[in-house]
Amino acid sequence: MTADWSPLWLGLRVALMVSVLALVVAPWPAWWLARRNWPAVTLLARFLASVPAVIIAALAVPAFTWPVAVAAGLVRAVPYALAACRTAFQSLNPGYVKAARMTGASDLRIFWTLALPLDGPAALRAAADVFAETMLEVAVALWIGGRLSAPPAGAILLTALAGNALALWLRRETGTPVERQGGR
Amino acid sequence: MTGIRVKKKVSEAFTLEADFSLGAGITALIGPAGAGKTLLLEMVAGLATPDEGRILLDDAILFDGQARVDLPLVRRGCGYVSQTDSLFPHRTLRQNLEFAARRFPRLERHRRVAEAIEQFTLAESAALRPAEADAAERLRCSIARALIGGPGLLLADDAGIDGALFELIRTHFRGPILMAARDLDLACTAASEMTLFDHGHIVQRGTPRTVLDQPATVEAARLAGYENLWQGTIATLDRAANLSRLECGGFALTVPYLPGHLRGDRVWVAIRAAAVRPRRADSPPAPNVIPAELVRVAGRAQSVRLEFAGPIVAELSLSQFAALGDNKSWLVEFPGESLHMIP
Repeated sequence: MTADWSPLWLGLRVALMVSVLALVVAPWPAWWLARRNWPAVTLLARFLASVPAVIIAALAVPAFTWPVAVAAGLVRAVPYALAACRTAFQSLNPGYVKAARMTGASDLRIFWTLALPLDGPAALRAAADVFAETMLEVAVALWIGGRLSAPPAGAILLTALAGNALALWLRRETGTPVERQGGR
Repeated sequence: MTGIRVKKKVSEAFTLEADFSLGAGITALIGPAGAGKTLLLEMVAGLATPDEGRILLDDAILFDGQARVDLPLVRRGCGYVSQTDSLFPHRTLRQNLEFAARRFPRLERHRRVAEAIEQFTLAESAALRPAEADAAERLRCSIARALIGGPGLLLADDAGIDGALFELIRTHFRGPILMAARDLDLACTAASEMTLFDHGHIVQRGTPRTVLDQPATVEAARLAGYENLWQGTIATLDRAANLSRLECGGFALTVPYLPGHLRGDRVWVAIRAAAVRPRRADSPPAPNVIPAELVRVAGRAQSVRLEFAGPIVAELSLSQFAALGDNKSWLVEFPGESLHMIP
């Protein structure tokens, strides 16, 4: 009997789309929020980042297709990436921002020329985390629905682990802002 | 004219309030950490907004609380060198300069960058990133970056600029400079005006010599580096003999007649550590010489600091100390001409 590999392709497709979309969507609002103190938004983002939305969607929506899974994944992924990027942007040396503002640089320009090049890896790390977690969530959702056999489950688990490893590697390579900037 | 009158309440305990004008030269803003120097500079630059007040640069209004004028940073014409290294770490020194000159057309931008590199001798390090350049090059680049837009006022926030570098700046920039510093020697070397600043308020203003030699208040004396400050009570006032006698806790001092005071008035006496003269106990008697108990000897790079009970602090040159070093019991002399009375 040959195994049904469709859960793996579904997981990969959903996780890749969710992480890429989160990577595209989250940084700019995160930069905007980084200079504001809105505890309610932070709390909401933390809460959403901990909701297993894909599993809930799989249980609640009868036709659990990939667009549904992607939409549900984003509910969790975007706030997670937002919070991660916000924390990273907050650690950006305020001296750089002041120096840029003194030359008349706009908020968007500072985002492009300072925040993203210096703290962009945080967004990549968040995307790798999102990828791994979404993979696992899809696997759990399919398993609850009884649509997951052992071989694709193992493959999904390995892929998720690879995502986690990528996040760890990025964390080591790009380090904390303090380590990155204190190069002397 | 160039004048700054600002008020900003930062917290219940700290309100910054300053009103002063800037001359064409270098004005040193002297105060301890936490005095509000950076905030004041940032308000002039436009990085912080005052609650009320008015900031004029060359008669142009940069900020007016009542008229609700608050010019955007780039139109204020202020160059700002921050306290910490703020060159963008992922760009070379040249790219840092180009970033600051970005608003000029291409040819003009190239001209300005090339000029800045030449003026601040950055040719060799222009292709380096800040982490690869040395501290002096980074500082020169920060200054060049602040000046590249042709500002009307340069703000330097305790950036570690020394006297020689200020001279270099002066050859390329003729406008007023407001520098925040903690170093009195630097203020004396470089500045033509000095403003003592503490707890968000101006304590005293004037030329560096006047401020350092004639502190008007106890706070001013403290900021101007007077290590010995005692409160004394006027015990005797003798106009005919031009003498006053002050009781300062454990000892008495004879000083010139203090006009405008009554017996029993409390006044402050200030004397610099370098003006106090420690002597051997067997030296001949003289006015204002009192016995003192040595508590601690602290070596410094070019001097030795003696701390006596009281507390009285004296500073001796190395050779003076070598001549007295084996002494066991001490007298200290307060030369009359070095004693400053502060009402």
